[in-house]
Amino acid sequence: MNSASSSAPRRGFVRDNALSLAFGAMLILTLIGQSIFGEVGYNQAARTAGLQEISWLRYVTSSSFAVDIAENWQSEYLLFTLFILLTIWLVQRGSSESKKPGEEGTDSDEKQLVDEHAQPDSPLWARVGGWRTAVYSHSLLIVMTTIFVLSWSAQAVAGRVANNEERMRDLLDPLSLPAYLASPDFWGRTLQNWQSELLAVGSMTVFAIYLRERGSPESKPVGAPHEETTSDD
Amino acid sequence: MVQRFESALASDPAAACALLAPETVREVEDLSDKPCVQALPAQDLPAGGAIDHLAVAGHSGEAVLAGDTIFLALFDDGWRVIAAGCTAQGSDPQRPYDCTVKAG
Repeated sequence: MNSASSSAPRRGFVRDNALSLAFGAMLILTLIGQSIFGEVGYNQAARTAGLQEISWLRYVTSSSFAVDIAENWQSEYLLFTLFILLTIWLVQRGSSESKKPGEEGTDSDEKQLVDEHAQPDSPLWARVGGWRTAVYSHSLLIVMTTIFVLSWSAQAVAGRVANNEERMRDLLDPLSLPAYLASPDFWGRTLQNWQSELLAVGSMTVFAIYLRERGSPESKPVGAPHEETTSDD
Repeated sequence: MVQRFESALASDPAAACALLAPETVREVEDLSDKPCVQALPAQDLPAGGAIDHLAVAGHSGEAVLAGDTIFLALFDDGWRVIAAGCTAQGSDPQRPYDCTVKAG
């Protein structure tokens, strides 16, 4: 069942990992761009207020930069965590992003290739059974959830510092962490990211019923009927 | 730095002016049409007294003293006072302090 991937001939590190490398490179480039324009924006505000401008190095270690990164990271990890979780139990008929109607649930051990159904080349923790197989069976969700919690916490901590820096610049008292967690700054940053992620994934799930992208594994084959729910048949 | 500013207010206006942020010095001088060393003592800033608590976030700070609240900003050569003689305007945390000396 999974022999196709393991038997595919290796073609060199770059070609075999091109997708991850491309996203990694784009991530670095966009982070650099964000840091450059973020520093310019920070310094424009400082100049307007007659305050000290800061170097790029100080900006990338500041809470202002950290909160801008963390608020986006937490929403991305939350969204994919939700998508992984909800697609276990919920389906969208006709979408290439969904299991078939009637297949909701966590599947049988046989289908999941665990315990006695594991294959010789299955990961060790899928073969050994017990708590290790139980943990490994949810390892993707565990890691994604952990990164979400950490990045949302980082948003809260860095966001409070950045917000308090602006508040004291505006001659306002700083907020305690509980007060910041109830503030419009925290929830505005959080919800504006959540809604955009939900829109993007929700709309892609529906678009994938009727629209195609030839060659993409995220799409059904161009000629597949709209009613066909998965492209993995 | 806060205590240096407070003691300078009482005896050394030039030193106190040197601890103000540039934009605050400009505002003090513009409003009184006098140099800072003459204008600042005329502001009758309250005696701050002992520090109750300090708050710092990034390049901003607030020092709550027994008799005054002052706001600070970090510059390359250290912390500077951006506002002094500040009193809270009621209990609404979104209402800025009313400050005798502040940047424009």
